[in-house]
Amino acid sequence: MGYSRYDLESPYSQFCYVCSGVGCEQKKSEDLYRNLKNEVRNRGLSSAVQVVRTGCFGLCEKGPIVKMLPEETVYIEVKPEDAAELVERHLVKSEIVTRLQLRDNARRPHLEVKKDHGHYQKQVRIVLRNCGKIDPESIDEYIAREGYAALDKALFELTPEQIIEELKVSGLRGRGGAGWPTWLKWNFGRKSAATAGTAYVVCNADEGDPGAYMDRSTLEGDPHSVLEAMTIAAYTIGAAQGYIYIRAEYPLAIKRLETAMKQAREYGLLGEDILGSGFSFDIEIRLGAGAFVCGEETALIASIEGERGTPKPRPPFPTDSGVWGLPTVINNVETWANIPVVILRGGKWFARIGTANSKGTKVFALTGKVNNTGLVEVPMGTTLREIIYDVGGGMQAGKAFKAVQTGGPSGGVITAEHLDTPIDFDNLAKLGSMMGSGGMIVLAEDDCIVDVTKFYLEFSVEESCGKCAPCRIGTRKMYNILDRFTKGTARPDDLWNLEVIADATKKASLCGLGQSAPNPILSTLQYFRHEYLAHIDEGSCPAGVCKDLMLYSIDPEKCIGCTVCARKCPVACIEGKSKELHVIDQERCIKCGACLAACKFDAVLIA
Amino acid sequence: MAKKSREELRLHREQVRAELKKNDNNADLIQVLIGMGTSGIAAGAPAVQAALIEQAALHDITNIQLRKVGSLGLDFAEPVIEIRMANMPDTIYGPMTAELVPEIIEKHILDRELVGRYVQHRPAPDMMED
Repeated sequence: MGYSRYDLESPYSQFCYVCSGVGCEQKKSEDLYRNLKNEVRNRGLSSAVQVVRTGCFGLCEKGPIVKMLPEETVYIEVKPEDAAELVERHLVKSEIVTRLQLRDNARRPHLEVKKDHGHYQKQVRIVLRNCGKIDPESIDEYIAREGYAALDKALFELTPEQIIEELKVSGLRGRGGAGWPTWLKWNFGRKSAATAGTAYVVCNADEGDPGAYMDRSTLEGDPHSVLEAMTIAAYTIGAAQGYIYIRAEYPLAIKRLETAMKQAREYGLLGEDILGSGFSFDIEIRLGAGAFVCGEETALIASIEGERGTPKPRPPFPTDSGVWGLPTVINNVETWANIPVVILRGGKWFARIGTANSKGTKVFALTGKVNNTGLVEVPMGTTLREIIYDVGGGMQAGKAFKAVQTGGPSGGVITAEHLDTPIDFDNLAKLGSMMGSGGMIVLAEDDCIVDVTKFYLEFSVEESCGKCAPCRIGTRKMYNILDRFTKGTARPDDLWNLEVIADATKKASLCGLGQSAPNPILSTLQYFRHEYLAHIDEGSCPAGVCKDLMLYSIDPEKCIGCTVCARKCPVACIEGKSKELHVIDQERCIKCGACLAACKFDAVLIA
Repeated sequence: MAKKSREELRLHREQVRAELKKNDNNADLIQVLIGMGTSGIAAGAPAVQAALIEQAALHDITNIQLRKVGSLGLDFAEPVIEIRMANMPDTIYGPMTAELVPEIIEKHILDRELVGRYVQHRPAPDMMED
């Protein structure tokens, strides 16, 4: 970042960035911006210094933020009245206003940042190191940024045992969901391969959680990192063939992978005698039809073999008997993308990032009611508050935070009281959620927890492969009960039924899909039982989402008969003459809320 | 392109690195990175790219290099472009539209003035440089 090429011929010799993200705006960044602009003008600096508003910096907690360029000085918690001092001292006298300066980045000593370029960001990009930086269809740009240097090191300087040791030291755990230590998987695979004579490595790119798209972005932005990592794994365990299992609905990722594979073969980085080492390995792409269960490794293996994608009981584990009955090491895209860095920088380097049992970073797909949606990569141990309120720029439209859903249809919710829990594998499990692949859907006060849970169950019902009864019937039964909750037809014993079926489905299902499908229910019941109860006992939806439970009416005291609501009503179910009380016909009302939004006199009531 | 040995790969890395470095240090070159992941493309990156090519030609800017890159992760601001040129800070603009391109070309590239409302500034440490 920043400018390396700078001379004084530029029209502006300095730029002053003022964050005008929602968080900073609430703390008067707009007044600050105007004051800075006025000060600059009053001192005759307008032709030399440009003051600009920028989007959210991702450090809302310390806002408003001002950044001076080209010096890269970051000032925090700047008040409108600080403008004069900043201009006088920083811009005129060229001295730092230390009282407002964001100094060293104490959060990341492990990164050994040589030059602090104002890297106040809470993000650390290891997996996404090349995304947005290189042309994903240029192998040369990848190579220029240490690409294939880890493969070089692995093939010529490390034994397979040393590679596994490096992974063990790194503490890298699988990013696909369960968080199994990567070195252990590779070690099992290597041992079984020694007996079997050969083995397979597989990249699981069957990303299926609603709201998760980190694998897609990684493959689209940096496909070579996955190819390089798979080749390192193949050398380590003794595999000659690899598969990338990816859903056909990711056409761009597939195209870029194909381009990358072609380039790698031309350079001798895939295929026979890689880099003249004598080691040979190649990769094939296998397209999936988008079934969620195919992300489960035994179902994925069946699908690779051309069979129907249904799971099998484990053991035997894939590392013993996987693709075509041979030992197979399966890792998820994000795990693969970490490998070249672990090999090149060493396990110790990697292990300095993160928490005791969760090393490195995690990529989250931040979506929902948060201002800055997108992909974020933060060190393990970052709190939810930092992710949502700093990196994510806070809640949309100032809404109150309700919960965040992690782990998709297999995960659960984390509530406001746990906003300060450091996010890692262990803590998420303790809270009854899970890391999953890293989808993070932020829910606000106007999201109904029962309705959200129903959405996940609907997903599980559709994605259940149907092979085992507990999952096939259990998910459907649970969905039906939740549906009754949202429609106001739940029976008194439905809460009890829900818990019993959830428990049975969890215990008796064959694979991870069914075993984890009740998680959204169990987790939300733990934290939001009162909201379920409100749906049965009071017949109301506290968030105002479940339409069947809502009743719109007009307050005779407040209605002045302005006719606005009647005109806005899309089904014309509001009757009343001008300057007379209006009445909603409940039979015809579709509960769209248009009248509520339209009334200027707060006369529309909702119950 | 022939298959490479270990030494050839290392040599090649030095070459391409030097070449890219030369571009970065070339005071006459204007690099424009366009985020072309699925989210960027869905939000309209191809139209922005087309407008950039058209406007650059219109203003006779021949020293511009458009580079396609993967997602920058800023989905809330897609489509996103990053401009790197001498005498200006590296600047990310978003959300971009084809209609905004003439203003960006005229102000940022020709007049070296930032187009304030669209600047996104979220530098993450680049582990490859540190």
